[in-house]
Amino acid sequence: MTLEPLQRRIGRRKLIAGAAGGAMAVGAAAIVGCGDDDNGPAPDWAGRVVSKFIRDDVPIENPRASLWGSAPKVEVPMQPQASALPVRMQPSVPSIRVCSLNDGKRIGFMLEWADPQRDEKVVKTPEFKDGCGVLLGPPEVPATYFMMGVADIAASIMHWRADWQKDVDDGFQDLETGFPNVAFDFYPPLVDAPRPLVVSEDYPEAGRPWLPGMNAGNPLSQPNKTSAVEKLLANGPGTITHMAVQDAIGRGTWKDGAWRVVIARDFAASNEGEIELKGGQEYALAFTVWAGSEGDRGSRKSPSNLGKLFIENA
Amino acid sequence: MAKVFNWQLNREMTYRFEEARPQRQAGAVFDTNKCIACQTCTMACKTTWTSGKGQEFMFWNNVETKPWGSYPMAWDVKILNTLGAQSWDGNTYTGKTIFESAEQGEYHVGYLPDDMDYAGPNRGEDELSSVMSEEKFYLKMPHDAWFFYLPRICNHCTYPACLQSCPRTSIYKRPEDGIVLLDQSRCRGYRECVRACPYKKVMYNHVTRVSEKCVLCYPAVEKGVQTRCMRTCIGKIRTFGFVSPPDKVREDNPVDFLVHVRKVALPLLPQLGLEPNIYYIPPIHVGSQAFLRMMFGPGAEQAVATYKNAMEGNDPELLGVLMLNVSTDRIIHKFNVSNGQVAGFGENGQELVRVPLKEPTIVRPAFDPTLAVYRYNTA
Ligand code: SF4
Ligand code: SF4
Repeated sequence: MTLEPLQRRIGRRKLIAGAAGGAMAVGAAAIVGCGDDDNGPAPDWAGRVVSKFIRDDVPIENPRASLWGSAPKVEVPMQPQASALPVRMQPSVPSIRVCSLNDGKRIGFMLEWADPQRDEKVVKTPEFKDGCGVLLGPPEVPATYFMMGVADIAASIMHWRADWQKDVDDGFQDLETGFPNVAFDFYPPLVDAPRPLVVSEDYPEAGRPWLPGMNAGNPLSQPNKTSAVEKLLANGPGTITHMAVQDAIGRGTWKDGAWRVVIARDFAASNEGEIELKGGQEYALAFTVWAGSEGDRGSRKSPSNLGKLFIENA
Repeated sequence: MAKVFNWQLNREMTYRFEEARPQRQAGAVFDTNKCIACQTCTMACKTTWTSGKGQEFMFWNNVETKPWGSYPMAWDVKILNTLGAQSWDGNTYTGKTIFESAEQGEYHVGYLPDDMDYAGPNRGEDELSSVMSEEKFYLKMPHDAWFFYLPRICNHCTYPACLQSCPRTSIYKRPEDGIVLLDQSRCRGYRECVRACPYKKVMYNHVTRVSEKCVLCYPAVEKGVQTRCMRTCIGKIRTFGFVSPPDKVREDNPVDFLVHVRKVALPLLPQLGLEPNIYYIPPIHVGSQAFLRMMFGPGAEQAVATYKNAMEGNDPELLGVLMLNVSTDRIIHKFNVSNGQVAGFGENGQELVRVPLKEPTIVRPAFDPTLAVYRYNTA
């Protein structure tokens, strides 16, 4: 798909935004594909995503695989984030297109949205990354649940990060990616360290205390990324916690002014408090998008309303 | 939003959290009249805390030359401009703080510095703002010749904007000593704090992708030892200790004495509303009282007069407290001036140091017979 049709479609969605009744009627009638198959505009999600069952494995590594075209796609309008400070009063992305596949053991989501600027570097102070999130929870939750769960019902979140994707694809984006001409005499604890000095797993032990975030075990500071998706548990704004077992996978590609991201996990929960999924069941569902060059990060983001996920059975 | 009392503004103001003063508040007084911009403090901090990869641009302690220098570039001009006109009625601030000027949906006004803003930490040091012009018989400066050095660290504010701004409350103020710390394992690199701190004392690590800030050498402070930047100060401009709110002042506490009793030490940009806990004795030779009032609040003129009076020999107590500066590595909790000497005491009352108010002049004979050498007296 090219930039043109996607943006045109988003423009069209904006035009009909607000016509909820009409959108719902379309949603019930049209089952159309998500990926490269350009078979018409996606219907408004009407608050529901159906995860299509397939006998093959979910094509996680390939966001452009034709199987994705068989999944029913929906257009999810994004909202202002006005419930936690600091806010974002205008969504940076008006809507995203979503579809989902499952193979009875694993579920994958594909998220697509137009973003003319690709932000995958967070080395410099004013640089923020693009990203998206899928939030899952039990079916009966209060309306505020879309903002990272509520105090007594945790939300299971998968967060795909463009900076991690770049790290996974091309290696850790070290200082030199932001400052190619950087020159330094020496780092005192690393006088004899081999040059060029690359922050990696074999970064000299003596220097680790001088990378405080990494030394403190902060997952954001770890240079060796194996997945671009982070699994998080949250009980409301400000509480997101990196899960102990990180086994969500995914892949995002940017082409012609649009991101296409696949995020996937097993039905089985691998962490305490994480929601377990089953075919034939319904779950709470919400999405979030961040546009880095718009200054999005943390609560400066564009969330969707709370919706439902139905997982088709074999 | 809660209503809290900010004694530096002599009024209540709004803040995200309820007033919760620590059991005691670590703080300091910097005498700007004595700073020589040697940057020893800067390097003491740099070599201790920020010599790692990703921290190249970081100076948790920096010394800038006012009015022309700033690090990051124009931090003070930018935040004061954003705040708009500020006004005082006597000792009461009648303008708006950075919290009260916030747009709806924000905690405060602020801005995120650009990378280039950190690129000239020494910009403006001993420099003119533009080139000199040639008059017939002399060179003319583009502006008044006065300037002064302003050493800056995190103010470990009573109402920290950094702490308030963090959606995850990764920043906390320790109840035992008021030191403001940023949890390195909890931060998610949103840089809300970098944007929020008007003094720009939270910085983003380029490699670990999370933010960092001055820790006020808390491992030392916990052991009763002064911070690196204080202990190494060549100009002996720094009084380190604990500062009390006005209703709990202890007159024999050096910091309280300077801040509350003599009122010779003033907060930096108190109008921002953070109740910063690093205080400054304003420079006595600055050509613009308005500039000093802007930087240090309405007490600036009186502070200059009080300081001059002490330097003329009329206030041995004030002189005494200042003589204790950087005379010991230990934190001084109490002082006493008597018999031409000042003594500093530790937390348990033990005497840490004793200094004469006036250093004796000793002239040695030119020839030392024990070593059979001639010596020069350089004093
Ligand atoms: S000076 Fe800045 S970093 Fe330090 S406590 Fe105050 S607001 Fe926070
Ligand atoms: S060490 Fe003392 S005199 Fe030297 S620059 Fe720092 S504050 Fe000023």
